[in-house]
Amino acid sequence: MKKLIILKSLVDFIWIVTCIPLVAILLFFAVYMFINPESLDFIFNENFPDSDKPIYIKQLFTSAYICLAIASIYCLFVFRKTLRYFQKAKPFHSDVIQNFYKIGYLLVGVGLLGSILTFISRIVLLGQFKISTGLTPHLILMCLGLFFMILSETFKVAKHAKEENELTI
Amino acid sequence: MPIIVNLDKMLVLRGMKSKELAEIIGITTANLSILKSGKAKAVRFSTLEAICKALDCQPSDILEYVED
Repeated sequence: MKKLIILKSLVDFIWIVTCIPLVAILLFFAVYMFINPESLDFIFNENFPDSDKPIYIKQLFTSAYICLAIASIYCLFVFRKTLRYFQKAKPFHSDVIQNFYKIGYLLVGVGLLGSILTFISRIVLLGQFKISTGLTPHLILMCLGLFFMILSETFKVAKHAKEENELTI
Repeated sequence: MPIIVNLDKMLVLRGMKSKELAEIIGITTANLSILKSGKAKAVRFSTLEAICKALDCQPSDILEYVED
């Protein structure tokens, strides 16, 4: 149980220190980039130095990346909520199974959309046709998502076995 | 479920109460109630043996198969 306490503390720390301010910043920036489009330059000049595309394309890509970031933060929120069930010694609660599935589904989505978005942004903004192979963060996210989905299925089987065991006289 | 538990009938035939049977076979009255109501998913051989011993009967006297 010590490991669970350490994990919960770490996730809480990340949630409070990083995620809450990040959500506020992302939401603020999602509005501010339309009010002051020049604010996008500090992102695009660094990552896409030769890009001279119209501002609405940059706004579109930034909005998509913000959506993906918010989805990732939501995953951490759901994971934090799930850890509470573990602390209450209810690991086979139906919410835990649903939450694991939700996290998996979202992580696979974020990974897949992230890789597609990166691929498209390279074509549109840099004119480069480049496919990243090997260990990319998007691929790791997809693997993690699939792992959570498998974990959800495993918990479903375990819950069924537990119920059967409890009803064995 | 097509398996019917006729524990009630056997208890009446032997003039025994559920509480007494639960004490003899060493299970809780709650578990015996689950068994009687047919909510149980499985019965251990050891439990079945204890019930048969306590009620002096055969497993077929307690369990019955009825088609759905």
